[in-house]
Parts: sequence; structure tokens; C-alpha cells
Amino acid sequence: MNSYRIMRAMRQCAFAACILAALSLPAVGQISFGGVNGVARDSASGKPLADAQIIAHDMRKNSESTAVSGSNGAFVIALAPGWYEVTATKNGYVKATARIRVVPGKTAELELPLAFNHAALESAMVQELDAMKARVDQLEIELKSKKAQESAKSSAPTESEVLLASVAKDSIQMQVPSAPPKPDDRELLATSTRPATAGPGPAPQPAPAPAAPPAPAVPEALTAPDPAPAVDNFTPFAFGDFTWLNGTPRNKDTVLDTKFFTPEIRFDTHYMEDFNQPHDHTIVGATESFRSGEVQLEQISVGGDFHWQNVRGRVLYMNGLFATTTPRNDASGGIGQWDLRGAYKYVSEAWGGYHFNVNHGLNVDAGIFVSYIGLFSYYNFDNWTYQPSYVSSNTPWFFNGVRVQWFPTNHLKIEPWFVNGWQSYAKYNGHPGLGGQLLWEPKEWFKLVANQYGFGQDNLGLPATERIHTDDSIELRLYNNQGKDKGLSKIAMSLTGDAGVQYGGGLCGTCAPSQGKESFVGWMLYNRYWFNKDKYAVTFGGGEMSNYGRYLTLLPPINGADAVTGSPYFTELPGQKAHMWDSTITFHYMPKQYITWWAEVGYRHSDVPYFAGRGGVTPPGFGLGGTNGAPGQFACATGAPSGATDLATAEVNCGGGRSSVWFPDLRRSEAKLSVGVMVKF
Amino acid sequence: MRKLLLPLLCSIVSAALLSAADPVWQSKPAAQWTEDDARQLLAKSPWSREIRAVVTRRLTEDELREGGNMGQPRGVGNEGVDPKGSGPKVSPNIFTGAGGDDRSLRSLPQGVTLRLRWESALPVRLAELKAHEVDPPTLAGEGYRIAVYGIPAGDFRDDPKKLGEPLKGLAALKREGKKDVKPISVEVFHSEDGMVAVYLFPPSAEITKKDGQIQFEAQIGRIVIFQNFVLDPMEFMGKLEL
Repeated sequence: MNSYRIMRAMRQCAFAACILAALSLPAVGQISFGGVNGVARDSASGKPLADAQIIAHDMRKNSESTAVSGSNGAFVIALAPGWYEVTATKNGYVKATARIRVVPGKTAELELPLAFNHAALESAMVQELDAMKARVDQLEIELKSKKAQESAKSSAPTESEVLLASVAKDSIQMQVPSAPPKPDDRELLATSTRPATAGPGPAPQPAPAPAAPPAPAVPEALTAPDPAPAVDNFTPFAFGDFTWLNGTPRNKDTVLDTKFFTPEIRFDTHYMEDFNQPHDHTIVGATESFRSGEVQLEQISVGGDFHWQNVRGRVLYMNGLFATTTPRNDASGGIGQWDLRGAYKYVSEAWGGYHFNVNHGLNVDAGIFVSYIGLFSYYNFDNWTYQPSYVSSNTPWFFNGVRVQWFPTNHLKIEPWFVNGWQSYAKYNGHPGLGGQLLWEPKEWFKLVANQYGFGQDNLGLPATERIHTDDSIELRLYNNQGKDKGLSKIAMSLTGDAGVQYGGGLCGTCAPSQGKESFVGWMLYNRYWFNKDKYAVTFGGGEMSNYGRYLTLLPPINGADAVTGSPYFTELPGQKAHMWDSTITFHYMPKQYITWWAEVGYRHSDVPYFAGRGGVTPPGFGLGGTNGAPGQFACATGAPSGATDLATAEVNCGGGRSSVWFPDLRRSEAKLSVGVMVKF
Repeated sequence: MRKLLLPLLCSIVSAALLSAADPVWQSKPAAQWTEDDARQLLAKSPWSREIRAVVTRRLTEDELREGGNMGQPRGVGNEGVDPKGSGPKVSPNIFTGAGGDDRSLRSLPQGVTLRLRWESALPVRLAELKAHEVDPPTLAGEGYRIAVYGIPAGDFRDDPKKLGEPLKGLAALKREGKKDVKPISVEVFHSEDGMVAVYLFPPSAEITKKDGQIQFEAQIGRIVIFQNFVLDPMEFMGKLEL
């Protein structure tokens, strides 16, 4: 009603403007004008008709005035007084006519309802049908012509002729399709053409196969729309829910994201009790466990992903114990200048790159990125256990270099690397490291990841020694009740096997230990059970490694030793053995997707003295930020530095006798109880 | 009582017979269709049907990165598909929660109602003419045209061809024993109730009644469509019309 009033007011205003304009015309003289103020409508729907041609025919003078209806169907014509026949015409409609009398200074209101022209519709239909028939005839002529051409061909066709023939053949096949499927076949077709549903998580149920009726009655066939499977079959790994995997965050939601930036925040705090009770509170031989009897922040990370169109970048800053415990295992900083450890210590990931829309995606990224050699994630929140076995703990967490990620299908990733070295900020010697990852996840319940590395010369002071390594894992989800009840909700397992050697420069991978054997063999196996809709989980597992030459054995931080300094108390010489195993039981309480409360009991064993005992690994005289002499030298029991890297000289320098030299308390075993909380947004 | 019962029964039987009558496109020549008939054909017929498609769950940033992408995908079928207020809620108590059920609505697949229509089918074009429907604009080129109506609209506008380009490789007409037919062009238009994607498949596909049925598959951003069309009832005036 309001819109009608507005329209009417607008028409009246327009009419007034027309009248004023008409009055200003000098030719008009003294004639006092009136006019018509009308609207053209569809007679059936009552909707206004735009662009209708309006003709006001002066019946006395036999003259005409014209107008076109606007988008609201309205039209206005200023007219001299008299009788008029007003006609509205529009394509597809029967014309409407009305007679009006125009009196001076008055506006005649007029509605012109136009009826839809059914005759025109019929004509259009006939035209459509004729056009269709003509098209079919044309196609048939073309096909016949191609058939004739094909049969005329007999000897040695050229490449283009072959192409033409194949097109013609295809066309003929299309023209004469195979026998129509029987009703039963149709039903089979209806089910078989659907992809198998691997619905993500608990949500999508397998879609029931739509029943194709044998003799489809149209209205019935339309009453039940076919359900559709909820699977994204294009985006890599989006067809399933892989948050159950070891080494993958379990979050189902991103709390905050914008078109440009998605933040990521992690906190990892724990309390560990080493039953060896080291008096210096130092835990040895892991990249996750560092201090005993204390509450420690292992990781504080803030950063996120930057993305704009296809340009991308990621940075995750890192503080807490990780900021110093990770760089110490990298000896490449001992090459050249510029304090690379200082440069990168607060960064766990920092890279930028570009996404190409090739196949299912192709990325080229450069910078520091996580390696995933050893299956577990660098970040403990993502893992089934807090303390992974040696195969994971002793292999790289990151690479510094360039990677290409190619997704030829939505189940497969192929990722070659060109990196500085084996978890190294810099290149140790002449060769960079080359390698790559193949990740295959054909089903939601299965993952295969194979990492290969080679060519790198990753030893400080051994320029001719190369390293090769293979790290391969499978993960299987054995049971999934899709959160139906509070009992057992999932069971899964992971199995990892690693093998590698170093060779060249006098070292060998397969020779006897006495001849400088440098090899690594290891495995780890974990089994995880989730309960109460994934609120709780228990993981059992462990592994073993044998590392001749100890090149992947983490150097205990005795007297502040690190990968550059080495230590006379735990040497890593060719052929030296290090055979270790471990096991853990881990309990996770996960009330929310962003937080994990955890407890873990672990036991580790070594065939050589390795773990910190009650006496610890810190000599007397060790001060904050310093060492007792050089970490690569023996320390005296008095707290004085010996200044010697060989024991005989150290004994002399320390005052004589073995007892004058300090020795760390290294044990063959370590039992540990840990509790903590981890947060990840 | 009997006097009342008999007419009542007659009425019920008549109503049942009437409702079981042939649909208008089989019982009446097109020239005799009323506007209501045309609207009925456009709303529910072998060429036009309402379907339930699926909006796949929203992936986390970690999942996106693992799959080689970063940031939530943009464009048709990605923006505007999550209902307002379906995002994650974090309660302040960090000691309790639903565990694995602690997830937002949008991290689960949702249903969406769409309408599929064979725009190139003659009865549809006739009905559109009769019902004075002008949308969607006709694409240039000959072939089979399928329009998907009701795609949730996002806060973006672009050239229809540009919007449709990413959808081209994600749709197909499938038949048993024959090669999948990919669209030669896709265009996306804004309409009053969302967006319309129009797929143009090449006429060389030559779909015949002997194919039995045909499946239209398409992915529009996070919207996944699988729809079977039985070809028998898609006959109009004795000829298969697609």
C-alpha cells in the first residue's frame, strides 16, 4: 500500500513537471493542458510492465503522443484537452486500449492491463521445436558424412586422419549406444556410481544407495531427493578426518582466522621427576625432557599463517627450553661466523612461498620448516606421547632450505627438499642435503609416510663423509565407534622403522665396528586407545635404536657440552656403539580440543652409561652461563679446569691420580614420571 | 450416516485419482499449459528437482596446511555457507569439557537445499517462457545446460565467468561405460535467493535414452552435489529432452 502511494506521488510529481515543461513551450500559446497519468501491468500477475509502448491517439485531431512505461510500469503524457484512445503494446502481450477524456488542468488516472499473448507463445514453441529438429537433422547429416569418410579410408592414414577417424568413431558410438540397462542393472548403476563414503569424523553417515525404480513413475521418483555423500574429493586429505594421527594436532576448529592471517599459539608446561634424582636437575638424552624436579616451560610459541591469494608464509616463534635445547644439537653453527644459533634460536618455523594451482596443488616454500622425520611432531601437543622413542627424538625436527610440495591427487603428497643439512642451520661441508617425503593417505584409517635423505655431509670436521637415511612409518586406525558411547572410542597404532649409514672419509656403513662403522637402525611402535568420545586416551609404546659411531645419539650436556664442543666423557667416535631402548605409558585427559592434561611414566635403557645419575652431569665450579673450563676438556674434581682433552694429561693437571679428575654420574637406565599441561590454539 | 459416507468416499477416490493423474507435461500440449502448470514443471519435474547437497566441514588451518593450502578458501560455495553463530565456543573452565565432541557446528558437514534444473531442456525453456522467468541468463554455446540454484551467496562480486572458472574442473556428467563429460564452461550469477551456477556441457556428449540414467556430480567450494537423473521420464513429446 505504501509503495503504491509512493508510486502515485512520484507519478503526480512527474506529471506536474511535464505540465510545467509544456506550459513553458512558446508554441503552446494559451492552451491550458491536462494529461494522463497511468501504469501498464501484466493482467495475470498484476506486476508492472516496463518498456511498454504507450500511444495516446487524439481522436479529433488524429494526432498521436507517445511514451514508454518506466521500470515501475508508470507513464505520464501531457495532453491538450479532448478525447484520446490510449494504447499499450509490448512484445509477447496482447495490446490494451482505453479511452479517456482530458480536461484542462486535470490528470486522468489510467490502468492498462496487458494479457499474455498465448498465440505468440505457441509460435515460439513451434519455432523452438523446429530449431531442435533442424539441429538433430544437421547432426545426423554430419554423422553420416563422417561414417562415409571413415569407410572410405583404407591405407596408411596420416596423424590428422587418425584423429578425425577417432572423433568420427566416438561420434558413431554415441549415436549407437550399447543396449539399455535392465531395471536391475540400473539399480546397480545407481549404487556403483557413488564413491565410497569415508565420512570425516563422527559426522557423515554412509549415504544409502538411492533406489532406482524399475519403471519410474515421475512424481514418485521426485518425492525423495537422493542423499549425497559428504566428501570433498578435491582438496588434499579433506576426504577424511585425520586428527587421530600421531604427530597431528587434534583440533577440530580454528578459533580465529581472517582472510590474511590465522594465528597459532602454543604453551607446553610440565613437571618431571627423574628417579635417578640428579642433583643438578639435568635430564640427559632426549629432545623433550631436560630438567627434573621442577616446573618448566618447554615451549611458548606464538605465530601463525599468512595467506593472501596464493602467496603464503608461516612463522612460529619459540621460547622456553626449546629455544636453547634445540640449537645445541646442531653443530653446523661451528662453521664460519655470524652466530647462527643466536639468529635462529627463537624460531621453530619461518618460511614463505607460493601456491600454484597445479593438479591438486603445488607449493614452493623456502625457510625453516618442520621435517617430520621420525613421525612425531616437533610440538608435543600433536603427539600421542610426550617423550617419543629415539627414532623420533634423535632425528631432525626441522630443515633450513627449500621444499616443493606437489599434490598429484587428493591422497598423495610428494615433497622434495633441498636443505642445508640434517637439522642444521648451516651447511657443514661441500654438499647440501637432498631428500624428500612421500605421504600417502588413501583411506581415513591409513597413513604411509616415507622420508628419505642423502648426499649431505653432515659432520663437523669430516668433509668427505656423507649420510643417507630412510625413515618410514605407517599409522593404522584399527577401531572407530564414531563417538557413539562413552566406552572405547578409537584404537590406533603407529610403526616406524629407520635405517641409515655414514660413509666416505675413512668411515663405512656396513663394515666391522673396529673399522669405523657408522650406522643407525631403529624402530618404534605405539598403540593408543581413546575413551569416552575421545576425552581420555592411553598410549603404550616404545622403541629401540642401535647407532654405531653415535652420530645420531644425543650428546649429554656434560659440563655444558654441545654438538660443537663434544665431550671427552661421552665420545662419538667411529665404531663406538650405542644401543638403547625405551618404553612409555602416557595418559591424556582432553576435555577440550585446545588443552591436554597429561601424565607419563617412562623407562629408558642404554648398553653404555648415558643417563644422568644422582651425581649429575655438572662439574663443581660450573657457573651460570659458563663451564668448568672448556666443555670439550676434562674438569678437575676441585672445580678447576684441567685444560686437557686426554685423561692422562688431565690427571696430571688436576693434581695426580684418577680421583683428582671429575667424572659425570652416567647410568645405564632412567625411570621418569612426568605430568603437564599443553595448550594449542 | 450412510448418505454422508458414500459422497465422502467418492470424493476421496476422486481426489486420489486426480492426484495420480499424469503430470501436466505428459497430459497437456504445451500450448495449453497455464502459468501454474509451467511453475509446477519448473518446481518439480524430471528436469527440475530440489535436492539435499552437503556442505563439507570447515577444515582447520592445520588441515589446510597439511593439504598444501593456507587460509580458508574463498569464492563461490566457500563464503557464506556457514550459518552465523556456528563457530567455536570456548568456555572459561579448562578442567571440564566434552572431549572429542567439543567441536563447532561448522566443523561438521551440514545439509543444504539446492535446486537442479536442466535449462536446455525444451519443456523447461517453454515453461520459463510461460512463467515469465528470465533467470539465469543463457550461456553462449550449444549443449546441455544444468543450473544449480540456491547456492549461499558470499560477500563478493565478480565476472560470472571468473567466478565459474574454478568450478569447471570439479563437475561431470557420468554414465556407465562411457567417459565422463566435463563442462565446457561454467558461469555464476547472483540471484534473489543466493547464487546460480550454470554448467554448459558439450552437445557432443550425445546423451540418449539408452544411457538409462545419468549422474550429475559437482563440487562448488565446500558444497558437494551427487544427483542421479533417470532418463525415461525426461521424455517430452516422444523425445528425450535434456
